[in-house]
Amino acid sequence: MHTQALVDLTPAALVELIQAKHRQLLKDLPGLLDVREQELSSAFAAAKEARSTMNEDPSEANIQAHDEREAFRRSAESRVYRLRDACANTEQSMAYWADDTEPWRELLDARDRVDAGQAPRFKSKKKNGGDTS
Amino acid sequence: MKGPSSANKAGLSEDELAALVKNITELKEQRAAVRHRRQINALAITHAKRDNRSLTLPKQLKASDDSVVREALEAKTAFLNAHAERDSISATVPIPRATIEKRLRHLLKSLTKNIGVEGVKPVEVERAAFAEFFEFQALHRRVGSLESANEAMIVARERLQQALALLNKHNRNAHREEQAIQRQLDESFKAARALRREVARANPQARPAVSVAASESLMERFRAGQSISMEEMQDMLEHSSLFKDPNPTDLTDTTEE
Repeated sequence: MHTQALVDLTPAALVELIQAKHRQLLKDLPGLLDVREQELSSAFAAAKEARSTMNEDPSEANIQAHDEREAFRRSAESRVYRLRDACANTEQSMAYWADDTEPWRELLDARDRVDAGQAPRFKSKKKNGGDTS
Repeated sequence: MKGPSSANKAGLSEDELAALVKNITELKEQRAAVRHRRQINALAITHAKRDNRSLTLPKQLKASDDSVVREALEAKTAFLNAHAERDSISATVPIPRATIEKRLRHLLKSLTKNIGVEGVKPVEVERAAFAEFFEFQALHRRVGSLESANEAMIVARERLQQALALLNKHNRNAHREEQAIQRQLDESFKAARALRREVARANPQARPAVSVAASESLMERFRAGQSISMEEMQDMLEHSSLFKDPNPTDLTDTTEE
């Protein structure tokens, strides 16, 4: 995006862009979650089987196979949790940004303060913190 | 006994002398006017210099109706106002334009670019980024105002520099004018002295000699603070070598340095 377009971007337009992103995520994530859950089921079954085999014959090869499958199960489980979190966050965000009462308008107070000539909230990286007084 | 030609010559010289004295008076008036103008110019130059931040105008300058001086003072006021405006905006813009634009791009990307699961943030984080985006956008507008104010200050500074240059030129011209008047005055004084000598030679009895007693009485009047004419003063000075002032003043002290 060109600088001028960036500077001219209105809050409503940005909300539209955010909603578009979340709509796309809501479309993509459930399918991905299904795939990951199936992957987790397979990983869980494989790890369980490897554990049984290892208990019957605790050879070096069986122990190594069990460790690999257990690691895969843990990573699959982690991916599923992240996806579930992402789905929950996306739904929550969608609900917020698509709210007809436009609650995001209160977030423009900082902009209005700067427009009124006040200093911004963030601290400058200058040695004196940007204080020019 | 003097001949008629000698008397005529003396009369003519006295007329010339009178004309010359009148001319000298006029030249002195002109010189005083030019000196006054130069004083005003010097005050205006000191006041209008860029590093002088004083807003108090000397009262001699307030009364001046010289267009060059007025322009310099107006240019100085405009410059100080533009400078103050620029500084007040600058105080609320702690970071440069490029940093603001970089931050705006980053925030827009984090809010709108779909990079999959890793790009999903809690709504609180999105809200903070949204608020920050528009705060930086407002800050970007202030940078625009700052640049406009800076340009206005540069224009005001150039105007001030031009006005000061003109004032300096004006002052140099006044200095030359004063020097020219001074040269004319020097020549006139010289001519007047020559004419006085000529008149005195042509008519030695023109003025009766003043006795020492008369000079002393004049001195008494002078000391008493009474007014004495220029001729009486000259007479008194002619006899100043005949007596010593017991309480010499700047005017009567004949001690050579």
